[in-house]
Amino acid sequence: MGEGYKLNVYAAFIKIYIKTKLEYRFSFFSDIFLQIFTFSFMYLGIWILIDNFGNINGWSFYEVMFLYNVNLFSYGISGLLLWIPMKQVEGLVHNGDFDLYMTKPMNILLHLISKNFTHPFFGHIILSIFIFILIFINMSISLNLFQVLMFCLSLFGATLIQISIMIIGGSINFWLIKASTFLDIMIYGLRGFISYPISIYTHSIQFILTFALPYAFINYYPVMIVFPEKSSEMLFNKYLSFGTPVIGAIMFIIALRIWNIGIKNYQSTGS
Amino acid sequence: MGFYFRYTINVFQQNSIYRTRFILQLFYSILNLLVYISIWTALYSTSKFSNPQTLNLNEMINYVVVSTIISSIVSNNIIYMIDNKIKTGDIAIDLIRPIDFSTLLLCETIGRNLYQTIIISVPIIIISSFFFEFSPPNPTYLGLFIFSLLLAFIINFCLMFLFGMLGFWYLTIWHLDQFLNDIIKLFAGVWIPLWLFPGFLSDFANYLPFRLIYFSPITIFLEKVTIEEILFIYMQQLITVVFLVLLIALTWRKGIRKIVIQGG
Repeated sequence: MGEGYKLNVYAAFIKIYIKTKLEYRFSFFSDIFLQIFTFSFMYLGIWILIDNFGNINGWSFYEVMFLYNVNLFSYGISGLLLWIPMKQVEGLVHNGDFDLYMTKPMNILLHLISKNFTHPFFGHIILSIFIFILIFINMSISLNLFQVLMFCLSLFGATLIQISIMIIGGSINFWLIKASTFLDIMIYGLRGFISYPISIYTHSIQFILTFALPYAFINYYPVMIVFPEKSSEMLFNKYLSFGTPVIGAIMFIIALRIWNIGIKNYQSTGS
Repeated sequence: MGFYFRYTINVFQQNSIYRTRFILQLFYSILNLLVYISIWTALYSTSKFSNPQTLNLNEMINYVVVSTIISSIVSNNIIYMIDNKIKTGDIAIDLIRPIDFSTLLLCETIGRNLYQTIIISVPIIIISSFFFEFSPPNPTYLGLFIFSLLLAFIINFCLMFLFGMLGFWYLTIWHLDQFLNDIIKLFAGVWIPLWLFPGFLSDFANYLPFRLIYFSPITIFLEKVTIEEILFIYMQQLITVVFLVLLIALTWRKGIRKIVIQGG
């Protein structure tokens, strides 16, 4: 079976999913709007802070917003694909329904993500695209071709990092029972650190966010490509700003490894 | 009455089984607190900040610590619980029991939150007093704070219950939880004091009941309000409770006819 076939299956599944969801049209669209509202409050909070203080560690409102937005965009795409599937793993493993996926002639991860598509995350993507446009209108950023290409590649890398985080968070369920809180911490708790430039933290936290849990590669380092004038505060090494695509690829390979080991480790509980 | 007491104790014990979950939550709270403290430290160190009700950095750190403690005491998962009960059809069983559904929910929340408070608040208080110079106010204000905190707990319970009932009409409501939490995070002044809000936003926040859960109790804790102002806060909290209880009763009577029982 070629890759093309898999994509066809995925497309067919998604089409059915969207069709069933659109049966409840009101619900479908209000799910998306709720997300847009929710994250608008985040931006409102950033605005209130910077309105009072002028800047945070030298970062202006639009700069912090840009930083946050890279996170939101990559989170939106990975959430669209993976949020519900990874949340489901806890329950599937707990009641043994995971067997169903083990017996199908299809890649388990792919099957899992084909069956569920977390449509509320369209809200994240729509809002973040809107904010990107808003920032480019208001900030007069001039980029050369290299910067544009590098930044797009980094966005892709950032998305891979977010995807990897979700897969690892979901995989934990193969070892621990009722571990969905773990996924919450990996996503919400640790991500809280990268809502603002990591230069505000102590050196040890910066080190952890760069080398141990590379969340800083999601937004802080790639954003340095767009704001080269910030490189004076660059932490560790200035070449780290080009690291995101590489880190993304490495993380993705590690995440798939962990997922596969987890599946081998899975012992059915149901009957 | 004896029954409800025993039920609460049961829930308390039941929760201790999920110890890992609460310990992870404690870890989460500490991370969050660390982020808030870092942000405020960075903001205070860089700029020309001046505000009439200025808190100094130490007071600001106390502000977010108290807020974290309040969060562990008042926050509940009622929306998620109701969502789950509707989805699985368990709500039918709760409804035919000869006990009041809302009281049952209240007992469940008290039992769970007692456990949550002990396992989260206590370590946070200890850590904060060692590392962040966290200190309680004088005993009078501490007492006044605790009373307002109890009212805050009830307000939060009523709010979540009210929104949870939207599930009777709307079926899935899990992401409503996140939405409500994010509104509260901003407009209750969970980590940005409402004093910093510009004119129109501060007016808006004043009209919403959320500030009575976090901001008002915190101002008492920080001794930033006079006794008269505290009495006024109590009055607002009480009126909000009465108003919410009426609204719940009304919604309940309408919703119970709407509800779709799933499963068999």
